Amino acid sequence: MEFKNKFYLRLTDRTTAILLAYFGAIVLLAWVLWPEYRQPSPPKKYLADFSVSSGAISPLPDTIPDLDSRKITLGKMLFHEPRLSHDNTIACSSCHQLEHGGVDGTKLSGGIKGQLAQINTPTVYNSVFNFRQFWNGRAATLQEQVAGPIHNPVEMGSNWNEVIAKLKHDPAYVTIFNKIYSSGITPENIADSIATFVSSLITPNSRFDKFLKGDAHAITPYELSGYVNFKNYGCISCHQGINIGGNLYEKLGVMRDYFKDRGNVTDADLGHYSITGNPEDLHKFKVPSLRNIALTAPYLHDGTARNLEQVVLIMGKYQLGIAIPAEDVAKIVAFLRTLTGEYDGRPL
Amino acid sequence: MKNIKQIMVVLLISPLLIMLFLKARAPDPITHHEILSNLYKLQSMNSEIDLLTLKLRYRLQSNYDGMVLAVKELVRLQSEIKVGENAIFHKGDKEIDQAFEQLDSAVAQKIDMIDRFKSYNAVLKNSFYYFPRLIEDIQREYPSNRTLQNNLQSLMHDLLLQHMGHSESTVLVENDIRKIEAAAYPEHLLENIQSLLQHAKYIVAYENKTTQMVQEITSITTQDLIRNLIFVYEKSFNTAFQTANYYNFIIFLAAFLLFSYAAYSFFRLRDSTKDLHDTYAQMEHQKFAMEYQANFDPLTLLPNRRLLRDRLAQEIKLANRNNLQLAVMFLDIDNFRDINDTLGHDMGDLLLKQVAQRLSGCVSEADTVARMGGDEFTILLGKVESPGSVERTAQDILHKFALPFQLGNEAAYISASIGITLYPTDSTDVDILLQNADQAMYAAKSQGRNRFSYFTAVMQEAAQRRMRLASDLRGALADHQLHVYYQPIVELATGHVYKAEALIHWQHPTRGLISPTDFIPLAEETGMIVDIGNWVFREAAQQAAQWRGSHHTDFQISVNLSPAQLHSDHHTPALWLDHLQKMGLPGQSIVVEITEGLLLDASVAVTDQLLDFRDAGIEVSLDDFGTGYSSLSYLKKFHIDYLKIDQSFLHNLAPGSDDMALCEAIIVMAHKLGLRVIAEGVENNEQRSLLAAAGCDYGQGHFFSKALPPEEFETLLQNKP
Repeated sequence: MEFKNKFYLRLTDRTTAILLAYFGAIVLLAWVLWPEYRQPSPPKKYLADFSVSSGAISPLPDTIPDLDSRKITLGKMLFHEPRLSHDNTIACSSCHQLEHGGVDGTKLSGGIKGQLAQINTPTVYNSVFNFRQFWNGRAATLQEQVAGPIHNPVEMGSNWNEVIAKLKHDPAYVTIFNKIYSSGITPENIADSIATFVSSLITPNSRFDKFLKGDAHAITPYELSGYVNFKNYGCISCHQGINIGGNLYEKLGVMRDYFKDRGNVTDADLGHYSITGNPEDLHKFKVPSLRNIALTAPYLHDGTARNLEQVVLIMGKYQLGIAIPAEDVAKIVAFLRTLTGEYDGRPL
Repeated sequence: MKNIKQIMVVLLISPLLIMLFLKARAPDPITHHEILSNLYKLQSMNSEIDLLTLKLRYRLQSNYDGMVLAVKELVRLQSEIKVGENAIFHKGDKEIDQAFEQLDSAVAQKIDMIDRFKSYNAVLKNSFYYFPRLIEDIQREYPSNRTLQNNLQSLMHDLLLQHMGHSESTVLVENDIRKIEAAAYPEHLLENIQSLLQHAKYIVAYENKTTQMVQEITSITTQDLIRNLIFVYEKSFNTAFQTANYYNFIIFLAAFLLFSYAAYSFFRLRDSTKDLHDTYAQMEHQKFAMEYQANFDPLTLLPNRRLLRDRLAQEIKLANRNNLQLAVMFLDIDNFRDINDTLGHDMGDLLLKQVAQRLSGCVSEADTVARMGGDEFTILLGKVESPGSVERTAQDILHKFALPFQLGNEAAYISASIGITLYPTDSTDVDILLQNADQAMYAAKSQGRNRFSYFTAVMQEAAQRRMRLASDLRGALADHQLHVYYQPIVELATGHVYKAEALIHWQHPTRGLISPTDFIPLAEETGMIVDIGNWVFREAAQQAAQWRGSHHTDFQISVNLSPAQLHSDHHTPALWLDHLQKMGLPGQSIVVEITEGLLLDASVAVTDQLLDFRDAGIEVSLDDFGTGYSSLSYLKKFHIDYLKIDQSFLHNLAPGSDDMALCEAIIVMAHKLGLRVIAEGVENNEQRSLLAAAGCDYGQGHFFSKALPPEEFETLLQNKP
């Protein structure tokens, strides 16, 4: 007798097989689509204890923790990669020469097609400790900073599309990027790897740091008297902290008008104002770090101070409203020279 | 594909279920905890920044690193929360985004304020440092100028007041600065005084400004916005969680429904299967019962006529193929009606069952015993090797029947008559074989029962003749071929004739006169006896009436009554008595002659009818007395009036012979019982005188007269006294 009921499947071998296959596919699909619950990640360490170190200047750490060594390697390659520039002539390292204190020693660096940059090259060493990047602080992070010179028409004169197209032509880059980043070669990943490399560029073990750490003989009494002068003249009001500067904006010309005296004011002289448009921020620049300052001449954002003596005098005159006697200048300069540290275990 | 509809349903439902399943997923708890933790960290970081601002303002902290790190942490936490929020609410959440936007702009403002605070704070610090030193220097280098001294002193005084929180001193300080500016000084002092005034201006301006900034930075705004963000986030999270729960509930419902449906289907299927099974079993049973009823006799459980015919047909085919002989036996229980009448139908049925058992025991498994109905059985013997084996089986059956049957408390002694026919010798046709066996059985019966008889060609001829005769007989009555003849019954003592027996004669147009012994059995078999009997009665009654009037007032005519006529359907007594009444004849004018056979098989109905005749005055005569069982009990039981001694006793009638003694005994016995005796077949005067001497009342036979037509009988009467 035939069983007539539409609700029942008549399970022939074929329909059974189809249903089983379908069921399997559904289970597989659900397995793949099923979002995984994340595992808790270990807590991130603060770079420093921001409330405890109340001293004016603190020594650099020996290393920056938690940096991905693969990213550092890739970042180093990219840092020296001229293909980041439009005509493949300029790499980051062209201006930020690691063997010359992270700068190129010129007043204004040369970009592509022989053009000159508008502002003096700041060092890449210890830039990870800066509160913001660029003289006028327009980049909050190193990652943000990377894009700047690449797109600047008088520096590398390129853009992301061009850079990525070039890098994708190089199988080595494609392979390395794919190993480190699931998304491969992207602006974010290029910036990240370069920023990671630059973060690793720190210069611990300067003589002054050793002194701060308790080695009383790391600097000479003369140099120490320079440090005392540095404090007494109030230099330390701005040049303080782990990077001896690099953690605030200050107006160039607090006591006298620097730009009136110098003349020929350009856009590069507007400082932080060019970002906020607030008149209070006019001529305000990021107070530069004094670490390795002996190696990064010429000085100031416009590169007008050729040596340390000159710049100390300028600072006294325009920022403090005094003429520092030559004797004290020499002492301060002696102190400043103790701030040169080591990179990769070797003195800069 | 037959199940396309079902498969389509499955295909449609599956993605729906998968979607439900994914929707039912609660937001990632780890992400949720991280977001919450980050939100609280954000709150504490904001407080940290406020604290650091105060520390910096009041020189408890001499570097900005802490502030820088705290701000960086604040920004990092914000972006991490945003990433987490986007992960947990896949497309983001409007309310949260709005709260974030507000917080972002507040934080950006705060950071901007902090940056400016830092630079003012640094300047203020140096100005506080340089201001007293410069005053000292100027005082030392220019002590003579009293006015300047006083002005410097009041400037210092007013600045201190302002520093201590007297905001109204700001005006005084500005006044002091203007006074000092207005005066003229020697060249070498000019630079120092200008620096001093610059510092004083910074102190006046930045003291208030930084205080104001600290107030702004540490204001409750960001704190409130963070709290708002936490609230909005938790609200959204709860909503998402509840939504997931809601989908979970739907899944639960779906699962429940599916389970219920599965259970329902299971039970339904089980019930249906059970019903189906029951129905099937019932149908099987009915089918079996129907088949059984159609093919088996319910009483004896033997095959019935139908099945026997089937088997016979099959056996014939088989025998034909294998060149074998078959035997068909037709068995009828002798006098079965007696058993039914005396012991009841229950016992009759019991007897049939026992007979069936005995018959089955006499044949092999391969042979068939069937009940044809009533007390008739048929036995089909296959693979007959010799006529002897058939005979042995028949003999065996008869022997088995010789043993008494135990019916309840009674032991019944019965016998059977068997007719045998052979395939292919006698016939090859099923119907004819059965017919043959039947005829042979009748032959056995007529030969005296309790025996078997083979079917013969003579039987066949007789049968054919009977068939022709039967068809002729049908028309005979209407065609006036039948005539009633009358044979006188003479009173032996006086020689008077006032009784006659009505005898029927058939004047066949081609075959001449046919004896009643030849066609009456035929008429009984075909049922025509009823019509013929009634006609004879009417003729006899008519004649009796005539002769009563013309010859003798007590003239009596006896009429033969066949058992068939006494079947209750025919209402023979009622018809006859009615007829007599119409004619005005008394019952005494008619005598019914019955045979012992009738009495043997007599049922209550027959007895009642005989009594009906008697009550109307019709006398009863027992014909052929002495040939059958001659049970004397009948004579008493049925109130017989006349005994007719069978003519077979008269053939060798001589003084001192056995027959003479028998006749004398019968006559004496009959007279003792009050019966009168008629001797049949009186051929000569010696017989007549012997009978008369023995006291026999009446005589009948050719010595007196053969049966005569009414006219000749009348002549006879006129010649006799």
